[in-house]
Amino acid sequence: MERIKNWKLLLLCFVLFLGSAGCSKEEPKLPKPEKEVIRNIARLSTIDAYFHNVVKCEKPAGEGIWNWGQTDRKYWFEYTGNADYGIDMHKVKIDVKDNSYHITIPGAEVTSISINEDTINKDSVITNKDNWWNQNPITSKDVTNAIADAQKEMELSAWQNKSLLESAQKRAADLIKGYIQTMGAAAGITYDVDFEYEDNSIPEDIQKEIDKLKEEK
Amino acid sequence: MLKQIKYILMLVVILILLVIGYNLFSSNKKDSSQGKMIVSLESSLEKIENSSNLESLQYTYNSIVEVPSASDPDKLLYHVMYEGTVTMGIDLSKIEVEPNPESENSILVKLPPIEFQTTYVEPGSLDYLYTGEAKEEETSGIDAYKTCQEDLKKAVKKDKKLKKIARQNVEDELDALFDSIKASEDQDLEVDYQWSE
Repeated sequence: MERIKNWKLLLLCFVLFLGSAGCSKEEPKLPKPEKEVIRNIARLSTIDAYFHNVVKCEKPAGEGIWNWGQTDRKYWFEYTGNADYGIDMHKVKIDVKDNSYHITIPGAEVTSISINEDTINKDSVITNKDNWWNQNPITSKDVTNAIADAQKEMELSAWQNKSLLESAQKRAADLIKGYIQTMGAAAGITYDVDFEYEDNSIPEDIQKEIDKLKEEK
Repeated sequence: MLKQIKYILMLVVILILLVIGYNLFSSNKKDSSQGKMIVSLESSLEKIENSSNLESLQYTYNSIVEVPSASDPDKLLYHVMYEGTVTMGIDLSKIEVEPNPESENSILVKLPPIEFQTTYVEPGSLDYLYTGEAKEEETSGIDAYKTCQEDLKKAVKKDKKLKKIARQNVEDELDALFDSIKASEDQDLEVDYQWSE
């Protein structure tokens, strides 16, 4: 009789423990979205580069008693990311003398990055099996953080592609020249246009991130 | 003695059951930061395309979107908050310039319609609020990201004020280029803009 009582007591503890495991944590509350921000910009994007990205993620098993027996999880996927190259039009300097134009084109920059949505999908995901009794789940937050890390790395690699920066700068010059000459033609004036190019240097903050990434690897 | 051993064994079994039970029933609530994903990227340049996008407006938009379960679309999986950025402008190569037939000393610049040039949800900005109605799958994050992208596109398409601001900014940018042309001439050249669409 006493043995049955003990079992009941232990079973009750077990049920209470499971109950508390499910209810003890409060649901996280999402912060309110911030206000919309509209920014006036003046950028001329001249080259769109497509990068094929293969992302390999590994989520190591957790530490401590609750994570005994967990497996290291692997999560691979691929997609196409885009990096646009161009110039900031606010930094273009124009000197005019009679009908001659001397234009200084600023260094080119990676103006934006994006993801080709059609290429990112569930079918491209490859993952190893989790065990059934002590899981090491890959959460949605893990996945979107991994995409963010991959995009950042792609952006930093795009900044280091000097030939694309140079091409973007030259193409920007061609487009500006085309516009000025077309305007001149409509006004019945022929303009001579020549260019000076500023160095395609990597901004300090981007360079720091590149160095940090290299150190981590 | 035998009784004590039995109790110890029983306690060990209970402990193991507690660990398994906790992990089985609370897998969605585990602190996901315990094992951070290590990400490595192999990136190769696939192709290059020329573009001529004159971007005049950047719009940052925050919103919350509902993501249903992929296996049971009637059930809500979670609410997701995201931050997205949109840039708008025109294709500079599509500008047409001609003398204005209606007025002397005037140039008519025909401008192509304002386009959405990039629509990008920052993947690291996604924040999830689980409803507990459906079970999260390991590909749910990709569904969530695509849902946010679609939501952003829908939201900005509805917003007419953005187009208006983007148009004004394009005209200001082109004026800035043309001002230097005007400065080089003694004549008073005027520019009129005509938007298509």
